[in-house]
Amino acid sequence: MRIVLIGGGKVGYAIVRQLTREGHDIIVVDSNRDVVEEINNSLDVMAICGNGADLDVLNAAEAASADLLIACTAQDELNILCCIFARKLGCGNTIARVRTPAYAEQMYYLKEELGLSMTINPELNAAREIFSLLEIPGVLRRDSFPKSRVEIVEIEPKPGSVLDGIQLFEFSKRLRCKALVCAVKREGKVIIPDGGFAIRAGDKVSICGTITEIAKILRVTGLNLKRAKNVMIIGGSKVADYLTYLLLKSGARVKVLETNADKAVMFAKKYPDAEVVCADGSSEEVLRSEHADQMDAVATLTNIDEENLILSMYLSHIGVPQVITKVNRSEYGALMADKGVSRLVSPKKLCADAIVGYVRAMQNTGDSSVLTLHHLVDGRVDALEFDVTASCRHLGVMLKDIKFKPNILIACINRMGKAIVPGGFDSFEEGDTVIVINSTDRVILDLNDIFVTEA
Amino acid sequence: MNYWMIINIIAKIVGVEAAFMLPALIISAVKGENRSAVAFAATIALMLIMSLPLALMKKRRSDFHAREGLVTVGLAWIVVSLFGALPFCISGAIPNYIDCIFETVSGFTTTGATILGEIESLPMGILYWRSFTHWLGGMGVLVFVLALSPLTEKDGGEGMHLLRAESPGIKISKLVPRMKRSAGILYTIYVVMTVLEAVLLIIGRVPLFDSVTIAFGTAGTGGFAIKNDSLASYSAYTQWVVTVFMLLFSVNFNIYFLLLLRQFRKVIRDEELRAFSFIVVGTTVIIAINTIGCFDSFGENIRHSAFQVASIISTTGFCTVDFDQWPQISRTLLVLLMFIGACAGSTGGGSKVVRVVVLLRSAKRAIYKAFHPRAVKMVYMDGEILEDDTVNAVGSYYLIYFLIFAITTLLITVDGFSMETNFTAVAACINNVGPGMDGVGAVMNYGAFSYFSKIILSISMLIGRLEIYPILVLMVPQVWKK
Repeated sequence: MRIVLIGGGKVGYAIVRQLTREGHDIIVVDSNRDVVEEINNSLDVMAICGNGADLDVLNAAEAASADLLIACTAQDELNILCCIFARKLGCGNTIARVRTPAYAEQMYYLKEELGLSMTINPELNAAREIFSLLEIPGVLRRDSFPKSRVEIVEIEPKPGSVLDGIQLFEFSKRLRCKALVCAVKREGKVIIPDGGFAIRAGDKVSICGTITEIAKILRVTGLNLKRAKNVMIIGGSKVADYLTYLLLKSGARVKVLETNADKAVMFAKKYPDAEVVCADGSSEEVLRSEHADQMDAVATLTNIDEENLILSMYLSHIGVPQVITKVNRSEYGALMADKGVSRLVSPKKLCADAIVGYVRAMQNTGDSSVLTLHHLVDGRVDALEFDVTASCRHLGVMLKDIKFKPNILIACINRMGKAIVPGGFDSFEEGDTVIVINSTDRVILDLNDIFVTEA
Repeated sequence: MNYWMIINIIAKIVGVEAAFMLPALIISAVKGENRSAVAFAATIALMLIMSLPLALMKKRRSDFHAREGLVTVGLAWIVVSLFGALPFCISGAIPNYIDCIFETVSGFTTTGATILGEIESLPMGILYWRSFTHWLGGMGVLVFVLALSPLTEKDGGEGMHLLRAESPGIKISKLVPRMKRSAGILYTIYVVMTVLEAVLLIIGRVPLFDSVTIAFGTAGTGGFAIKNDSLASYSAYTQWVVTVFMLLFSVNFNIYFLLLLRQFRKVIRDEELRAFSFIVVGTTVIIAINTIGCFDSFGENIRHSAFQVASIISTTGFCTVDFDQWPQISRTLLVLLMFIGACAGSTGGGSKVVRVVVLLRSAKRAIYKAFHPRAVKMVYMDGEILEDDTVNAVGSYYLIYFLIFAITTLLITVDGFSMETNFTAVAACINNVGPGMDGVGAVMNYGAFSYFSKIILSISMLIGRLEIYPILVLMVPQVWKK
């Protein structure tokens, strides 16, 4: 597909990188010449220097004939303007990044009125992700599939836990739960396991199932299940804003540390129920006097990655049960895992995932396109949610009789609102929703792409 | 430095070269030229044995940066030339291997300078290969590999660095977002134009073999002919066709892409194209007037001067007459044209019209600033501001270019030829033209130089074709350090 992307910043770059890998033709527009140069040098795309809301620039980027335009500059208004002009020129699909909390609430009207196909709000996505992690403390990651009402969570079994040494074919029986292990990361390698595979302590295990089933597993493995009641947020960024809103709504107590006095006042005005402290959250003295060690959870959300990482290391050192770190450069995440910083949330990555999912759905001409896409374990495994429609080639055939491509796993079948952990005697039926696990080096657009094509 | 990737890419290129040698082998075999058939077969076998295992190895590391790109391109051209020279040597067509290297480098860099005095008696397979090196070198071997191989499936960083290092001009501009498709489009245009020229020549009753080899020589703007007197013995029609195509191949290929997209306004406004046309028409008129009396009619004057101007500015190097005998104004103009060369993004050599234009404009700015020191002035090109970085890069390009020019000229003086011979020999080699003046004039050749000078001139041809840096970095010790 031909895609025009306006704004080659951190989020833009992550999106472009993902989309070029999937084989799309991309033209990037950015007003900063150095950024344009950098993108031209490092990615196989065309980068143009200019203002994305300038019609001449949009014409030079051939926006009129593009299949999709994504505007993700730092300014919401500019993004919306770009999309309006692109639509006027004839570009059918437009996505705008809109992240100001005030606009986020009226997004529905904006989308309708301006004809946007989708709006993305990386900060809101990140806040939601952090919130969902805080709900279940024991997990490292949570990815939800709204249509199937199941989730994939990542956990790390401790030595001596029930999971240590368990073979997968006895997994459901031993744990008395309906869930499926869909990917394991061991010593830097990612495995899509089969029944004979045995879990070891220290593996990062991704498990697919409904939230009640997953809770059962967490309970028997002795992982913390208590929802965080006292949460400290360090840094009054946009993510913090959204997160405070979500937490307060759920009834948790929130303490926000913000260095900038004006920002702190704004925050206090907006959320009178939150406890706002105007202090430098990166100082050990402040953290101690604010009793960081007695919190259920701390989220480090300043705008500086390094500060967040160092703070999180310190916080888990002093014994805070839950530490969540916001990072923009997720590359360094792997480094930090053994330093107690294993729960990382990256707004730009979440955002890139959402857009890649949208683009794949656009690309698919068939009727069973990707509903939700998540990248699991360092982006090396895709988890895709599909509707099973009449066009599915193997309707009603038992799974054991279907030839799948290698490294494909059916993680869950949802039938009439009930999640089934699929075995060899289950089958696809029309109206089901399925979750497919796939290694990232192959792009899957349609449910039929997972079957071996008969000659 | 990622040696593994460099070796892998070069191995792939050698494999491609082996495939391209097959037609020469077939021609030799069909014509019953046993010695050259054996030479080609042996070379192809050797290339495949050496390259296949390396090319098929699994990818180990994938980090690839500007440094790797430059080194790969520089080394690839040297390796390709060393292998390409083998058939000449094994078949006995050119007995000495250093002569063979000179001839092959001259072929791949589309210089067209030869050490051979007697060409017509060579076997056909050898002649075909000699001309085909022009065609392969004209658009660049690496661009071809890029267009074909799955080298750049994922991120494309490595492909970018290769393309940047191999393609001429002040900045690379892709035609479409995907590099692979860009390379594919370029090669399609290239093939179509080459075929078109060959067909037009055949229509003009030029024998098939001559048509094909002349088309190769023109397309790559090389200049190897298969006759001792270059193109002098062909009809006026043939010479006009070649004149037109030499000019067409020295225009930026982006122009043809714009024509295909029907963006005529952009084509007409292209400043490099305008400058190029102006120089061609201007010098043709001056030389035509200057050479009155050399030919029977003014029509012939026009034809020969147009042919020679096109041949030199496109850096092809075909000749129809011995222009070394022309009056001094014409000779000097032709030597100056060598330095200007073709447009960026074409198959031609020289320092490129766009650089000359930028240099003149920045010179104008410097003069203006001399008497108006606080003035803020920009250098424009095609209506866009050129960043100071780009302007400075052009300045340093010329500095290094003339430095290398001076050193090379000095080095080859050891052979004791006249200053004019040495000067124009280096000018003709570094600008990839071919014939120079005096001792290396239109009817002379490079055979008289010593082996030392031949190696120096071969290096200068590579430096000229790859626009200095890929060859120069190979000589910088820091590049090779971990």
